Amino acid sequence: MKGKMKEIIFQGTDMIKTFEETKVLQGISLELYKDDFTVIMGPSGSGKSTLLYAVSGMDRLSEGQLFYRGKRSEMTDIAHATEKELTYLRAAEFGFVFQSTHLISSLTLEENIRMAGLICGSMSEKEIRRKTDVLIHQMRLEKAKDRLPAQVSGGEAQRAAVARAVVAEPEILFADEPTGALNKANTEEVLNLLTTLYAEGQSILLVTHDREAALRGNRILYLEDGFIVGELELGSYLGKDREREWKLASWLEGFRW
Amino acid sequence: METCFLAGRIPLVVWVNCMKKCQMLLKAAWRKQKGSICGIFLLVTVLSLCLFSSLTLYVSGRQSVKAEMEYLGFGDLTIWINGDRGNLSGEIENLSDVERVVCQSLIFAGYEINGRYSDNEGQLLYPDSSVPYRFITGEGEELSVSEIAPGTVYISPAMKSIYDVETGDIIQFELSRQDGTYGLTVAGYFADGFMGSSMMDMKSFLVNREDYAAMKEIVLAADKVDALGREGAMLHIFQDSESDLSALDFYKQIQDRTDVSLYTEFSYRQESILSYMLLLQNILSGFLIAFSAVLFLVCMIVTGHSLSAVVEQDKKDMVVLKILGMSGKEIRKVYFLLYGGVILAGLFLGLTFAGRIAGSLAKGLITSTGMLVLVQRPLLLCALLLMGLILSFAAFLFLRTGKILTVAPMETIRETAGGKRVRTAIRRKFLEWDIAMRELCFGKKNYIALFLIAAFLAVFLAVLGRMGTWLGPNGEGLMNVFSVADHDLGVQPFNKEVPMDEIERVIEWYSPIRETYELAMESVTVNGQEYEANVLNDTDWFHILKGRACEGNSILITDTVASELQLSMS
Ligand SMILES: Nc1ncnc2c1ncn2[C@@H]1O[C@H](COP(=O)(O)OP(=O)(O)O)[C@@H](O)[C@H]1O
Ligand SMILES: [Mg+2]
Repeated sequence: MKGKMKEIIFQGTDMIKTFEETKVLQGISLELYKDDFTVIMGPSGSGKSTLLYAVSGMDRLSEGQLFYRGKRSEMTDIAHATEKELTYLRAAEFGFVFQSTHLISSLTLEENIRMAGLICGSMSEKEIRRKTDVLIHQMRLEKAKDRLPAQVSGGEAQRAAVARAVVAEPEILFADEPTGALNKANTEEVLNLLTTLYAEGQSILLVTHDREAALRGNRILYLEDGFIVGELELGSYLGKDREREWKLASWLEGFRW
Repeated sequence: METCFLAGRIPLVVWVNCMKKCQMLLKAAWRKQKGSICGIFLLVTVLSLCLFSSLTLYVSGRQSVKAEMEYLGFGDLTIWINGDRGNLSGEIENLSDVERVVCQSLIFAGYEINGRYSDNEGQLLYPDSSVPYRFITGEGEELSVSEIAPGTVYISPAMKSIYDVETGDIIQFELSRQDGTYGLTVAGYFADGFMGSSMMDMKSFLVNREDYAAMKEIVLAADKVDALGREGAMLHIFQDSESDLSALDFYKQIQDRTDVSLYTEFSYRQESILSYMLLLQNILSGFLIAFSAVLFLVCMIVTGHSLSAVVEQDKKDMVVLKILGMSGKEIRKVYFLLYGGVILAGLFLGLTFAGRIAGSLAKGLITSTGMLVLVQRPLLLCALLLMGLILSFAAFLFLRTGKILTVAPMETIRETAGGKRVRTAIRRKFLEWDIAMRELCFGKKNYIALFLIAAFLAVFLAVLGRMGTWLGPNGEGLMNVFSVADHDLGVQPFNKEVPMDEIERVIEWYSPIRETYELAMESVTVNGQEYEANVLNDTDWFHILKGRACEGNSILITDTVASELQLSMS
């Protein structure tokens, strides 16, 4: 992959985020590329989530600049975008997955997925249905699709959340510890899904402190005390790979992981 | 990757998606909030029913009585005179301010029905072309009667409740001591826009012309001492449209320039007859309107409460919708549509049935009002009110849903990530109780809203149930509400020697006397006009609206008297 010119979708410079006196992001500059599976690792409390929310425009930066270029040709200044612009971005260009599923409790899994399609605003009803059916099949949700979130298992719910995040074919998928609340089997399943999506061309930004999850990315950033202190190029994940695991482990050792 | 945003083909897709989105969210909201939505719907329906039916009743009652009086050809002023004074109406008619006078001959006579004697005289009339009376059934339907059969009489439906009269009963009119009574069979009812209400003591009876003539003969043939019935007439006086005299001055002029005051029994202006006739209906509709006002407030409170409860409860879902890219405005629109739609539906449902309710209320009241009320919805008034209601509900909803705009995704995401703290502990021993308590703490507002809805519906149903009892068969119930005693008993001594304390003791034997006051029937002169007055001592007893209880050289009068005679304090 190295050497090939990659399209930049996010460009942040000197990003600072302060919460009442505490500087959580202390001046981060980074670029995110299209078609990458970027992983942000770091100890708990290092500011990983804060960075993800700042980049995705969910939370405002305190200082610094952040530009985004996605489906549309013009650049968006995320740090200073209007609420309307951010709403559009969330609807049409960004997908989100969190540790807790955040499904709408009064809609069935299928309706939850379709709702995201409807909100994105650029797909016809027919397209949405087709896409939803494909995703339900891909996420193996056929049995659970007509149940409410409270009536399905954690794994099913999280798979539905992933499906909902990508139904509108977003430019980038943001995932904040999506496997944090899952057991081993379900974790494996969700990671496999992300890997598949990545292989199909989905750009992903994943925040995690799970080594297994980090292995799936092709570019790993290490965050500590509000600074990015390391970066590792891994190449695409193509199934279990001893050498890849070793590479990551030795890199992480440098940060006393 | 396929490009998602294509500027060209947006409008229809966006519109359809928007509809679908709304539909889905409405369905979701319905799943969750069935209870409070139904409650609000019911409440608003009841409000609308109550308000519009009472308005309809009020307006159509007034219109019907007025129309009936105009239809019957009763004038601006009606004077009851005794004896047959043929020339008097001509005399009055010659006055410049008088347009015309219609004279209706009648016989005043006491009567007895099913063993009960009347307190007041009734007036016997025969219908002729000058006054086209309308006949009705006891249930308030119009009835066509071409002619009154000999030996029969038509009465006001209000008599039904006062004397328990049915068609087929015989009414005995007392005409003279010698020849006794003249019996007539009740054949049916007529709409008496004039004295029909059970609030009026004097009642009209319609009889056949031959019967009338026969009765008149008995009255005229009887000696002065023997006569119980009397001849008389009603003079319906129409004020000239160009005359600019006030009602009081008009009457004064007639009294000054003619001999009418020598023969006057009593007189009423059209407005005062209207107010007597409509008293009951107005009390009922006033009560309902007041109730509607309370209900309106309740609706606001309950809607407000359940909206804030719902916003609180759905906060998480709203945040998710915002994360998915729905704007606060759109989410607010969904809630606005849901609650607005429910309220609108309730208002219109109520409005649709208000006419029917007013109709059956009017029919139910016929034995009290004695009137055929033609239900006409006051369209303009209803439309204006409806607009007002819709606007105020809309403004209220708009304000109340404003909170949705301020729901911030970040807070909620962090909150749920950390987990919310629970304040009530669950103990094994009281497991169920503790769980119930916790449920109550979390859904506090929701339960308060539900409780409020339930409480107010219960109160309303109870009020409806009690309404019949309160009003009583002829408004007596309503009168009793304002008076402490079960019975009022008037005792009139024939001369000074009658020992009043002895009489009181006799009455005490049967039932305790709550209070006594002396009463004298006096002729009084007010601004040069004679009236018979009930003069009472002990004025502390009454609710005084204005001024104070009597001391020394002052009197208290009622509201009605004041407006009738245009008197003011001091
Ligand atoms: N809303 C907030 N107010 C105050 N402090 C916050 C807020 N959000 C996060 N923080 C603080 O910022 C730091 C980084 O948080 P976070 O980004 O969630 O860490 P990570 O995701 O890496 O575990 C933590 O110390 C946390 O307490
Ligand atoms: Mg985190």
